[in-house]
Formats: sequence, structure tokens, C-alpha cells
Amino acid sequence: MKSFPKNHTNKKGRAQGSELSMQRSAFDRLCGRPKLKVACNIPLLGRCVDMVCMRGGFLFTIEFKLHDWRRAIRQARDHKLASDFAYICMPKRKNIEKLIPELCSAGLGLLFFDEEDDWPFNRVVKAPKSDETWSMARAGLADQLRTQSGSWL
Amino acid sequence: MTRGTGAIRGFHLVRYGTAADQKYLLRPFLGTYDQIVINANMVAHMPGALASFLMQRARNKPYFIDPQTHAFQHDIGHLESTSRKSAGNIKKSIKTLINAYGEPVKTVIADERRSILPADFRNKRIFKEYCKRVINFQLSGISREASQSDSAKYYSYLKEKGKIEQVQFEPTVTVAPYFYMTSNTYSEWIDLNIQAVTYSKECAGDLDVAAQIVISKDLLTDSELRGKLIKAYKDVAPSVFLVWIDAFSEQRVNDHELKAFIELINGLGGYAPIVNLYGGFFSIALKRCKIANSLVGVCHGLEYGEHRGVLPVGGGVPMAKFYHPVMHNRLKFREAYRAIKREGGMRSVNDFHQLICDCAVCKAVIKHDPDTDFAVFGRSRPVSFIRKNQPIAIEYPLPETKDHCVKHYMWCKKREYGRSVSITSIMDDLARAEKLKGTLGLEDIAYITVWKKMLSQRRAGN
Repeated sequence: MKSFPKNHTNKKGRAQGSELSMQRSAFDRLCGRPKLKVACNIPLLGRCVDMVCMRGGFLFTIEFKLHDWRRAIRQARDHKLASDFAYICMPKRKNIEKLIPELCSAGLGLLFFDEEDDWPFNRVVKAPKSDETWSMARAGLADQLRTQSGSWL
Repeated sequence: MTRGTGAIRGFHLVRYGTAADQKYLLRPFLGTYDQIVINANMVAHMPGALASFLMQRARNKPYFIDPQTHAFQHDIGHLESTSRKSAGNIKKSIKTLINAYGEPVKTVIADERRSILPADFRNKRIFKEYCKRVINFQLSGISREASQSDSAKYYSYLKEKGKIEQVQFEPTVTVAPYFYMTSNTYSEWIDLNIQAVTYSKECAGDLDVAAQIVISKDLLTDSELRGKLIKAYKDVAPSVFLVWIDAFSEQRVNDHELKAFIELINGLGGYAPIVNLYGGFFSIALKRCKIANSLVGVCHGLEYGEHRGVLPVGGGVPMAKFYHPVMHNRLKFREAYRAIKREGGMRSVNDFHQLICDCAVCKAVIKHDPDTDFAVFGRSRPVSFIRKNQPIAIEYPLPETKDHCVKHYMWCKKREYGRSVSITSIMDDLARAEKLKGTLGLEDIAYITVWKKMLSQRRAGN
């Protein structure tokens, strides 16, 4: 695997600055945690899921975005076909008045990326359980996670 | 070969795009369509195989050849091979075509390595000879091989015994050389296009000659140029017009473009019947709703063949798509699942067959539980890799996924082209499809509203 491009690092030496660096940084901090399976860049029904996690028997998908939250919602909405809970993850931002209602109506949750803490997310909006989960797609995603857990690609 | 109706043998034409398409053009699909359109580069590449396909396996199916003469007017990079071994060389099949078509293409492309210009046809004698060779290539490209085959002898025997009406090795119609026109290049090419039809008719004698009109959307929607174009073709009297609008997706274009398309069809229709070389359900509906009576054929390819850009759009990753019979469109697999679920098709096998599709493939696949069985139409192989430091993850449809999707598509097409499709059923379908707005989003459904508006307005004579 090629080396991961680091835009720049914070004082703990963690990559920051791009969607990719945010995703990689979160992945590095989640990997190896007990009772948590995590994999990145998993193809799903014509989309690519940035991160898939399984904890407590539930499947979570996360779409990382720096700015374009409308696009993130469109993508994450499709993740709901295979996951139990679908989130978008963005850097902390103040202006979320427009974002929240759109997220809620799409049935998605919101995470803010935490650069400093060991746990890379701050949950802002809890995702409701997906009402669209298709058993076949979920089984396929869970299968991929089983074989690729701990892998970046 | 006869004039007029003999050139086009039915409303449903299918384009034979690649060798892999063959299996979807044979039984059980052989009887579902009327005629085959073959690209000249395919003929150049494998004339023997095509002859045996047409004579033996496709049982003397009528065909004609698109001479693809527009290929020489674009950047010649499009004619070059991209394979590692022969990168930069002119593709082998194109070389064969160049040799068959001769001057001026031979010198310009093979020697001077530039694209053809209108000035290259200034010499009338050379142009006339060029037209003759293009016509001859179509007449002999497949038929020479076909007439020498064992099947040919068998067909001749059957004809002698009066068991079949005719044996035809040659195409039902020959196509005059043609050049692609945009609103900017119209004035440069139009006279040559007209002249090519006239010369080809002289060379072809009693044989049917088609005029292929290949234009951009901007030319189509320019009412003044469109009028000029229709007028220009008024006096050439071809047996049939073959129309190809560059990248004209009936699901993506707006009502202004659809209106212009109808006007073009009806304008040209005053002089000769018309075949839409790349069309979908909207074209079929135009005929069924008696809006474009001069449309005698609509041609489609097997996978993405209801519209096509003049220049190759470039590879791209193939995606599993399911042709939704009510939306008359290929949907991404995930969207198809959503749409079918919303319509109640996932409730039971019976509901799926009644509400969505009961074609032979859907009957074979959806047998126990549609919610589980439908996955067969989307099975894929995930592949992940790094490109330009970016992780990429894509899914390639499995060969059997493609097989199910294409076969289902062919059965759907049979139903769409079927004469039993009424105007009422078309409007009912569209009204039903419109209800999926909430599930699929306005962007993906908007074309349904546009189609409905166009078809009902035109029927009312507005």
C-alpha cells in the first residue's frame, strides 16, 4: 500500500486538512480497539463507503466531508440501505442551522471530527435506526467488514 | 432489394456493437427484433464471423452497415490504439476501413496523420470514387463471405424448393458517406453530405440508399439551421433517413430539445421515412401516439445504447443497472431496489411479477422472495486500489449479473416495441412512474413529466 499523504499535522502529530486525512486519522485511532471492527473504503451498491464499523452487533457507516454537506447527505442516504446507522462526519463548525433539519429528514446522524482526543468523534446528532436497511445489502456489507476489518483498503 | 419499405424491415432495430452482444441477438431473442445495424469497423474486424453469425445463427436476419465515415473528421487520436503493444498506431479495423474507402482518407489519415477536412473532397472525381468505395464496402463486406458459406448453399436450396421467400446476403439498404455537423460546422459540411447522397445513389443504381444525418444538439435546437437542414435534404430523396443526434439521451434532454427532435423528424418525414439510430421509449411512444408517423424504426444497443456520443465517451466503470419497465429507464441497482420496494414489488413473488415485470428472466430469478432474489440483478465483485494517492473502491458487475440485466432488458424492449402497447397504457405507465418522485428524487424523475407533457400536448395538436 502506498504511503498516506499528510497535508499537515497537529501538535499530536496527527494528519489534518483534507477529507482523506480526517478519515485516515479516525481510522488509525479506531483500529485495534476491542469489540470494534472497522474498515475503510468499502464499495457498496455503486457507492464507496468511507468507513464501516461494527459495534454491539450494529453496523455503522460514516461519510467524511470537509464542506459539501449536501453531497454527504446524498451519499450517506444510500448507505442506509446496508447499515443500521448512517452518519456524516465533518470538522467542527458553528453554522449548522441549515444542516440539522436536512440531516434529520434524511434519517442521518452528525459527527464532528475531533483532532485531539483518542476517540475521533463528537456526536452532535444521533442517527435514528435506518428504516431502509435491505437485509441482502446489509449481509454483504457485514461480510466485507468481516474479511477486511482493520484494513484501510 | 426493393425500394421504400424494403430498406427497413420493421420498427425494432438493434445495434450489434461488440462480439459479446451476439448471444443476446440469437434465440430466444432472435424473433423479438426486426433488423440488425452493424458498425463498419466490426465488419472490417471480423467479416467471416459476422457472415456466419448472420447466415447461420441469426437465420438470414436483415441488416445494414453504418459506414462510420464521420470517424475520420475528428482528432485522429480517437482512431489510435490504446493497447500497450500498439499504442499510437491506427487501430487495425480502422486501417482496414481506410484501405477499403481509399482516397482521400488514405492519404490524409494514414500518411499525413491529420483529420479529414471538407477541402479534401473538393475534387469531384475523387469524392465520387470515395462514395462508390464506401457503398461497395457495405455491399461486399459481409455478403462476399456469406455467399460462399455452406449456409448460403442451404438457403439457396430452400429458396429453390419454395420453402423460403428470399435469400439475402447483402444489406437491405446502403448508407451514403456522411459527416457530423454542429451549428458551427454546418455550413462546411452540409453540401458534402448532400453531394455524398447524390453520388451514392448514382453508384448504387437500383439499390436503396439511406442518408445518415448526424448532428449535435445545438444544431438540432437552432430552428433556423434545422429548417435549412430539412430544406437541404428535400431534393436528394433517399430511401430512408437515418438520424443520430449526438449524445441525445431521451431521459436527460429538456422539452425544448425533444420538441426540436419531433420537428426534425416531422420535417424530414415529408421526404422519406426515418429511423432513429439511437432511441429509447420516447421515440417508440412518438410513433405509438401518432406524433411521428414517418418514424419507421428505432434502433438501440444492448447496454448503454439508447443514446451515444459521436466520439467515444471513454471507458468508465460498468455498473449494474436494472431496466425499470414502468420508468422505461435503466436505474442504478440501489435506485431500482428503492423504486420497486416503493411500488410494492418486494411484498411477494406475485406482486413483483404483477407490478414490476414478468419477463422470462424475472420469472426465473424472482421465485421465492423478491427482497432476497432481486440481489441477483446487482451482484458484483468489489475491487479496491490506490490511484493518485486516493483510495478507490468500485464494484464490477459479475458476468452473470450483466447477463441477467441484458436479457431482462431485451424482453422489456420486446414488450415496448410490441404493437399491443396503447397510448392509454403509455400514459398510465408515465403517471405511475411520476409517483416515484419522492423515492428517487425530482432530478431522476423529471423526464417523465416532460415526456407526458410532450406526448399529450402533441396529441392534442399543440
